[in-house]
Amino acid sequence: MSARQSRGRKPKDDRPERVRFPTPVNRLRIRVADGEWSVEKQVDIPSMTLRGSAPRPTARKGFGRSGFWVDAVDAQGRVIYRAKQRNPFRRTVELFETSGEMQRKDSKREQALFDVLIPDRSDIVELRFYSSFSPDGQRLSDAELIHTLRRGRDKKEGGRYGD
Amino acid sequence: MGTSDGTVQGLTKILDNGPNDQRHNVVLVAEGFQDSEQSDFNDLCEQFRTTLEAEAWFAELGQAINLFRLNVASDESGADDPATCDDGSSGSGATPDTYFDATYCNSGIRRCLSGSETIVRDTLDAQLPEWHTAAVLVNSSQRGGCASGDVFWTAISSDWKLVVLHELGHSSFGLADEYNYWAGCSSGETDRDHAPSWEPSEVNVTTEAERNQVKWRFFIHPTTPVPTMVNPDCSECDDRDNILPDDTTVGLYEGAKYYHCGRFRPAYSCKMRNSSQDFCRVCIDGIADALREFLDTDPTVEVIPTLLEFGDVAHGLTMYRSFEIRNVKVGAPVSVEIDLGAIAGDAGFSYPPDTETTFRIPAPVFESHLSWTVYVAFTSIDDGTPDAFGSLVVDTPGTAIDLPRTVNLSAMAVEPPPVDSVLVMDRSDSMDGATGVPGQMKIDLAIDAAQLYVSLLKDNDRIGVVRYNDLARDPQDILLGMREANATGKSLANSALTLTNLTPDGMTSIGGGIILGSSVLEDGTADSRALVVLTDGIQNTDPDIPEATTEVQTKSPEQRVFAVGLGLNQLEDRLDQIASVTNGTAQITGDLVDQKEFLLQKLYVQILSDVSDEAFVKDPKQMALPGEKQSTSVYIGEVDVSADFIVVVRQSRLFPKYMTVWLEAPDGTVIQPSDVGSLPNVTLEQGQSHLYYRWQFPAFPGRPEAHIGRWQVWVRNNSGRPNSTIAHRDDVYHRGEPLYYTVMSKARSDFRLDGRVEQPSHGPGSPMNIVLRPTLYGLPVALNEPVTVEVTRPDSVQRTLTLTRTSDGLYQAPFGETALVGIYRVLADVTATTPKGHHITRTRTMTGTIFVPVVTGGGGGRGDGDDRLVEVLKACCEEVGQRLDEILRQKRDC
Repeated sequence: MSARQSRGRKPKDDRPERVRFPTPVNRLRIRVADGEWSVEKQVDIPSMTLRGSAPRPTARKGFGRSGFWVDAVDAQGRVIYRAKQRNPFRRTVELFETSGEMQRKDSKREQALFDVLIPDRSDIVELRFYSSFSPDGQRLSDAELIHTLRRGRDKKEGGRYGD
Repeated sequence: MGTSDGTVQGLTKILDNGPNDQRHNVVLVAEGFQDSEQSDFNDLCEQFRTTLEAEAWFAELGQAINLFRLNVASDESGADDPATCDDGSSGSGATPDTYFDATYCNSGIRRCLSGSETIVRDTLDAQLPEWHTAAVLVNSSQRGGCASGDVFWTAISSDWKLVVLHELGHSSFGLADEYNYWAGCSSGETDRDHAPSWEPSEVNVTTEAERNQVKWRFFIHPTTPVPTMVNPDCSECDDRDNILPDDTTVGLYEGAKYYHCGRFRPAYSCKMRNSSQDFCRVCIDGIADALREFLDTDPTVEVIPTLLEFGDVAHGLTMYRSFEIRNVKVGAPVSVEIDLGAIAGDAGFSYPPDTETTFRIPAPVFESHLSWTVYVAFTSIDDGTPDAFGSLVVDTPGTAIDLPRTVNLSAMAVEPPPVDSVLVMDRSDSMDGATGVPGQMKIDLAIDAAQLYVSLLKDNDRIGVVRYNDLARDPQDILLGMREANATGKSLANSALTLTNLTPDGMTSIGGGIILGSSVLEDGTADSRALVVLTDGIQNTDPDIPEATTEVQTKSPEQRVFAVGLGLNQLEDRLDQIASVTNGTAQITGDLVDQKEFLLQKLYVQILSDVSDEAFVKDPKQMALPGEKQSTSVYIGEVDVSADFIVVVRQSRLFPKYMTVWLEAPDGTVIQPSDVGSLPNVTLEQGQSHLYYRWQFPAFPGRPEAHIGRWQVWVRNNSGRPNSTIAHRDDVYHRGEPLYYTVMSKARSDFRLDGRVEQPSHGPGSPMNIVLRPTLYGLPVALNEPVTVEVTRPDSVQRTLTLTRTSDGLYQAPFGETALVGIYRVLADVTATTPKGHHITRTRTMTGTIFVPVVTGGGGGRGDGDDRLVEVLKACCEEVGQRLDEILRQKRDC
């Protein structure tokens, strides 16, 4: 491609390879309490459809990324699937008025319990959790990798996720 | 407590849209309903189903959703309501035994109603492993609810169904809250004035205020301001009324996701801002995107057209063409990701700067299709191979649809197209009349303007000259057959344009002149052909103008007639007609006094701009006193390929001899006449009453953008300078005299301004419609607002009209003050901002005419439409008419 021909092209976004659904899915129930992460439950679902893999969150220069997402990556570090969901570490509750207006209040919740749905694929070796809030509810300047879960590879572990 | 306080009765699919492993599964869970109350729960679930199905988006996207109710019988009704709570509230102290242990006062907030999430999730896992979202309906009318990701709780208060829909917006569709406060606008909160520097990841809120960066830019109409509303006081919520008439119109409204300022939402109202409202279009797009995988539809994409033909593009110019990529609704609406490949093929083709080559076309939820327009540019360069071919590929990564599609590109890089012109010069007796310009007869000005026209021609243009009075004979009145306008041709043309050849005499056969000029123009070779017809009088000798019109219309290639009425306040309407039917223009000068002194020359330059497909930039009249120097600004943008900076002067004993014209480039470089020989891209041409610098841009080697910006055309009146070194001195020179001049500029440019005055009729009181058509790269372009024109009525009263833009890119304004007979001069002096942000100007002069039909003597009388009026006038003026006839006969005899 000549310089002229490439003029004006913006780089493509980092949307992961598309996963075909329905497909076997792992439901991980994760509890985070006092900074400790535990996979409380893993449900292997034979066939299920998930929301399409999310594009990589971005922010313009000088701004941090906000949100919570889980990257399921293969051995080469490639993102196979990205699950974007509500941030479980944001300690707030939403209250509704009859007028339809809402308001927020800070919550004293001490722990987080949430599910993550990930395609059950043998090439996924690791789940990387990114968040703009730390597990203790502190706002971070940019969403960052806050935890990693590895998928067991041997027969005994049978594809179970754990630290 | 917990699972010992009740029984799971079972799961029922109440909205079945397909296999559970292929749909988005939403479960309504009963909590605090006893066995005897399960029918109440069932009724609530039916109510919610009805509410859900009534959502505007549901008819198109609802097929992605399965809805279930999970009947769970608790031993007792309701939820725990602690007597005390950290927020200071008090409750009933009730502690019913319920299956999920729902209780108010979670996290110290009375209205935070939730229970055991573990039990809820485990129960769901057992009943429906493929569950996505669950709403736990707590059998209590006391307000309350709480959410935790994909499980949320709500009491059965009056608005619970709206609450559930809002919460689905979060948990199922990933939407953000759009309200612009945290605890409430009246809460006194002070930490919500300015949003921090984080870009929210949700699709319906942003910190970005630039139109082309906004996430939902696809849905913002070009005429919608961005930002649409800005909070004037960030210490408060912005609760002003919407500035747009429709609260659902997508724009960019400041105040969203818990902050007064710094975060924006798509529409004035939305369910994510107020649960009683509908979802806005952007949120519905978010819903469509969230449900995309659950719909049994692949997108249908059309590319229209698949061949972009740029046609002939003159060297240096850039032409844009576009194609449309359509996401067509066939079955369920789904969004589609598009990947544009690099342009392959010959040089010259490119995407415009900042073109997005990977983008998403939203799902056409309510539309038959949604489309994205892609522009491709072709910059014509002279590399010896005129044909240019290219292609690009449109692909939809990850889909099985019938793509990629190839869009082929075709263009021809050509020399600036030549123009063939024939100057049709009136030399009737009346051309000996005064003009208002001291010392200048009409024929003198006509020769000056014609010589300026000849001088400005390009070497590959062709020129011919004919003359007419009551006669227009071949060959006697052909002063110059078609010749290339190189130095020799221009010299020959100037030799033809002399007073000797154009001595005023005889009557007027405009039709004869046109027919003769048209026959000469037939010897041309260019596709663009123009007859420039000058007249100062009324047609009075056959052949008549309609006959000439018929003759000209038979010619191929098309011959365009540009008519100029010199010194006239009224132009033959048949000249108007011939100009109109041949795609030319008809203009009249009126008396050439004051500001109109150089109008004839200007009209000739404008005609040449029109036939050459160029742009007219500037035309002020100036006067420099002896010894004075003045500058005129001309703005050049990156869209301009070449430009002529033209100075026309009133001839006198001193001028143009004792004047100096030089240029100052935008970067401060001064170009004196003596510099021209050492610069590669500029020439200087001088005539009897004009001179011009002709530039090809970029102006200076190694400084590709030094020509972009404000040029200054400097003119110095060298007369009256006591210490002059000029040898020749006389009293006139010693005293000096004012230098009357005008500066014009015309540019070969990607930015054009066409215009016209539309008149359905010319009678007094007939309305005029003033129309401007600005184009950039051949496409309609917006001008800087306000867009105004100045209309000068025959009584010199001036009116300024503001033009409004129409949907097809035209600017229009009606003008109704046309009671006076005479000419209405319309001057458009507009500005635009180039794609790179540079200021450029364009000027266009137009005329409208109002008149009552007149009686013509001799041949070529008016058509039958005015016969009755002619008869009346003849009767009234019989005596005068006889006298006129007598004078005319005598004149012929002489």
